[in-house]
Amino acid sequence: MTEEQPELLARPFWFYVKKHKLWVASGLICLFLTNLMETLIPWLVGKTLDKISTNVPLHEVGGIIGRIFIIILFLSAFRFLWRVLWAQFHHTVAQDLRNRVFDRMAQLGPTFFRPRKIGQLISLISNDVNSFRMGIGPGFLVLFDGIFLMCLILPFMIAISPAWTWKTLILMPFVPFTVNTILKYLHRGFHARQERFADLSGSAQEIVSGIRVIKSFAQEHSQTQQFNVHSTGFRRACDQVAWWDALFGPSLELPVALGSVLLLLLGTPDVIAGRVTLGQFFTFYQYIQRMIWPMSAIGVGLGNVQEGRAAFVRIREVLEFAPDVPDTGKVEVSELRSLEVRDLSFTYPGTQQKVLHGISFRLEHGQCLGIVGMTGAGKSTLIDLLIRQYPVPPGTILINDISVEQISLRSLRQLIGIVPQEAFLFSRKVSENLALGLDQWDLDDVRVAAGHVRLDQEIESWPENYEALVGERGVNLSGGQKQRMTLARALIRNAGLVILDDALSAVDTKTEGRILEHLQNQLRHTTSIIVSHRLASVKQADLILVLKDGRVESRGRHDELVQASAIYKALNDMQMEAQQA
Amino acid sequence: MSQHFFAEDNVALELTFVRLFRKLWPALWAHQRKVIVSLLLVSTYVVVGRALPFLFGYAIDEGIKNRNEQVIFMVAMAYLGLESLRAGLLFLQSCHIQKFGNLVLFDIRERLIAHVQSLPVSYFEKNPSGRTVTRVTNDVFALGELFSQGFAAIFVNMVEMISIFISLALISWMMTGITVVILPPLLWICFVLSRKIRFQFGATKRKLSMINAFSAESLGGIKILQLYDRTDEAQTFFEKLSSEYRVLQLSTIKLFATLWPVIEAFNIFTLAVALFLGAYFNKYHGMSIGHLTAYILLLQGFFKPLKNILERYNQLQNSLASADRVFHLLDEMPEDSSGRDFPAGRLHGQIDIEHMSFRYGPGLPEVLKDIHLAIKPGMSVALVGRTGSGKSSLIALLQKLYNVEKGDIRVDGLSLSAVSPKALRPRIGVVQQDGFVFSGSILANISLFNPKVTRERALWAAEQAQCQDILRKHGGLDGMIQERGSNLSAGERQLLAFARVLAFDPDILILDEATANIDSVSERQIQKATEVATRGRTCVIIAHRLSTILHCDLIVVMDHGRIAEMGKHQELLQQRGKYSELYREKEVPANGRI
Repeated sequence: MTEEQPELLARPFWFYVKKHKLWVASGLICLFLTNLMETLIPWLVGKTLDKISTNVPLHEVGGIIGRIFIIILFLSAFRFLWRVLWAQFHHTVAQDLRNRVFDRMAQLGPTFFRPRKIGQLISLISNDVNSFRMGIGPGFLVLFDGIFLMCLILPFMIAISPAWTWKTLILMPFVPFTVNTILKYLHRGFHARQERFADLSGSAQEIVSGIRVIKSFAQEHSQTQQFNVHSTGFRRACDQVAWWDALFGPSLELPVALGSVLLLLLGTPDVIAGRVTLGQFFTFYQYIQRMIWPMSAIGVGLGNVQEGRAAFVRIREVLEFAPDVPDTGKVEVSELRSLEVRDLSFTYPGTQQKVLHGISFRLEHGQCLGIVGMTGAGKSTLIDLLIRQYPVPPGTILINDISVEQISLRSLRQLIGIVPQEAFLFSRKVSENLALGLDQWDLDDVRVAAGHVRLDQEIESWPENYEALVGERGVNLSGGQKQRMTLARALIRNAGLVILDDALSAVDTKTEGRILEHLQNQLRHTTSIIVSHRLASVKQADLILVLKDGRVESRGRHDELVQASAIYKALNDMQMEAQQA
Repeated sequence: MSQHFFAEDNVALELTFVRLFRKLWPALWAHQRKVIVSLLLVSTYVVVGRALPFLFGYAIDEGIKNRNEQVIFMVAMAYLGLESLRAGLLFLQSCHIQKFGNLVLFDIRERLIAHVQSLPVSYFEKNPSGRTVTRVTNDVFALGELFSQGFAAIFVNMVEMISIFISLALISWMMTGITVVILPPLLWICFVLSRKIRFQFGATKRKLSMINAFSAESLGGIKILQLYDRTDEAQTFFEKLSSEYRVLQLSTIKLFATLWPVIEAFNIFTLAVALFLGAYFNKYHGMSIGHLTAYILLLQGFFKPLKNILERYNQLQNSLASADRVFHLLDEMPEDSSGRDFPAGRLHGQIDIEHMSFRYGPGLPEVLKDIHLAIKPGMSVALVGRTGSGKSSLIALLQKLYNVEKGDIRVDGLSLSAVSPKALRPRIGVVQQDGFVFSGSILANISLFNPKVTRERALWAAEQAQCQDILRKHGGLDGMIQERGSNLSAGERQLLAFARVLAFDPDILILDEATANIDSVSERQIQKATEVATRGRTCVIIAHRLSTILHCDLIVVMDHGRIAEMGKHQELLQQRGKYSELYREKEVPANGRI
């Protein structure tokens, strides 16, 4: 896949057309034949009319009609074929592109995800991929359809009368232009409508989220009035779209109508004079009407292709995005003997300000590191660097005395069990959530892990216990329960390094105490890092770092820090006071 | 991996086009004039459209055959006039109907949002907010498409078909009769294929929402998936969904690829038949060439509306589900708004709770048991107790968010069951624990868009509630607060909630103190704001701060839905009962630092 990537990024349309040239070519041939058959019909109708008006015997009329029947058969077959062939083509393209986008996103890191909302990304996967599909599929198809038809109808028209042809079609070249212009305004309208829609949703969201406040102040009416302001804005935007949309039909039909009027005025003398037969006159009239589609098709098709191209620009941005941390390491590590951070400083990519200044520490196998500090002191950044969310200079983070960039990401990740701040669970079964990090597991593993965090009894009290779904359609977990689930999820992996990033903030003090006690037994042989704002959590650590403004303000064990660190002492006093009062 | 991750409401569809139309009709008929104008525009448009083939036929018979150039000129001018008229009508008709639809949707949205706000609190506990928002926005939008792309378009196309049929019969009812014979098999094929297409559409749409839901969740938790080395698994699953989606789309297209050629084939077939019959009628019944051409032109126009109808009908079947959900929401029972008002003037603030018990629903355990409590005007009462002891339920009942089952709550001697929620709630101000703030200006957060709360009043309230720092930091009353108050600290959010209460000047105050960690500066400001807000009002406070508890006239200790103890701080401590137990366990957190 990666080898093809450069060509895909450079010329996406061509890349896919080449890849599926058989479908594309056979689809186009069927389309051309369909168009040819379609063009023949008015010709034959005209001929029949001539036969009828010259009073030939009925069986001669029957002969032409027989030909029409044969055309029906071929026409239906070709029409079916091009649709199917072409659909195969563009839906396969869409599938391929969709997978590429998702696969790429799955490799990307925080630099990509931070500034983007999930909704945008979903829209990229479904809407933008679809726009691209519409461009390469229906867009090109319609273009070709229009071009083929035009190339087929014009010779027939010229054959009837070259003079009529240019005179009646004189307005036609304006059609693609008009169509394109209207489409442009229409899209602008859609865009504005989308913005107003977001306002509207926002307004509704506020009302529903704040319903308790609204009710308790009995302000339902004022809120409805406020909602109506947004609702009106949205309605206006919809009306704008309606206006352009309504303009579409008439602006297509008027040139045809004028063509027909010109034919009536300029063509009839030729018919009366006998230079052109009545049947041909009728055929010509029908061809004028049929010219409208090729003309608008060019407008519509170009519009689709333009949009597809614009969508691909957004897609390309993702496909070209590089992961924050390239997976270039070759060394496999299977156990953690030591973790060392040497003079680590860090500035977030794209920013100026250093957030970590010269952090150093060393942890041996089985030791526990505590990290405390105020919000913004750099605790989470440090953890993010340890778990390789961002690149660090070589030699600043070492595992078993090997610099981390030399270690393969996969083996590093298998070494670490992380419990992040935000307790994110998947809408899967409780058991599947707990065993997320295991390739193979049975219920006992899950049960034991749940026991570690005192969740086993709660889970077993649910009717579906470990089979229960997490989330809206299953059990709704409290913040504390979620955090304990994520903790169990990390413990179940028996990882060499367990990192708790303020992971028990929503658990009440009493339960936290019990869990920590249990963990200390559990993690006796595991290296661990505990980030917390509660000193009780880190009291037992072998080493505690107090961070302030990205620097280590002081380090040591609990007893030492109470003496040595002003921040630590203040935190300690505050929490002690709370306990004693 | 289980496939349960997507939470799409799979309500069995009870709505059909006809039933939906009946439900929608009152909303349409509310704008009678617009309905009538629409009908007039559509019918004139259709009549003008049908006149054109006749005119063309007339040109052939009277102009060309009779070599009358005068007639041809007249016809050409008439043709030009009619086509211009038709184009104009097409524009007006389409624009008018769409705008009309937008107006109706506006009405429906207004009705919905008003209705949503009238629903009992229990509704919001059961339904995630996102779902309700989707009803009011996306689903109504889908209903709109159903209206303009569906009803209106199908109606216009039907009228077209009927008018063409009548015109055909006018030219030759015999030829038309013979052509009509082939219609039933065509309609049957259309019906069968359409049904399959609709089914496929539904399946395709469901698959797409699975793809979206799966992507949303995987990308939301991408860090976890990466760190737990599960991205390969997610990719494989995505590719499976993606391929299933393509297969479904292809099978839909195959059905369409069958349906359209069939209709087209019938179209040409009828044309061929008409030509042959035309030749026969021309020969033996003197049908003119002009009539025959008009007939052929009309016939060619007959199948386009049929195609349109089928296309719309199939695609819009899915929007029916959205419409269905909209009407389901409208059918939700609102809370009982009946009851009388309090006498004019301020309340004294006497609250009597008389042997009151409460449960959230039949069969559920009682969360409040035999609560008996008299609160005199101007008194401050602190509620303390563990999580789940019934404090919050008691407060919800005081606001009549639920109805009392057993016993009674009286305010100024009037039973809450006799008072309407609308009358009660403005009298009781609530400062919520989470300090909910709206995204928007500080002013809007204080006034809640009520015009009665002027800028001056809001400013006064903000100052009283110690919001000076907030005002300074965010640029005064017009400063913008982000969604969920993310640019405010927990303490600041609570201060803003105080300002809101002060602006509305209630007679009774309910305060649910924040438990979150609050820095000492805010702590002091909140304390000050609490003092201002409680002054001269009856107050019921779920207290977490020792300083607040100490200020209260009465401490009510709740335990398992009962009142365990009542009294003052020192008395209660000396009793060595529940209160002192809570105090020791720090469930009455005592970080009352001043």
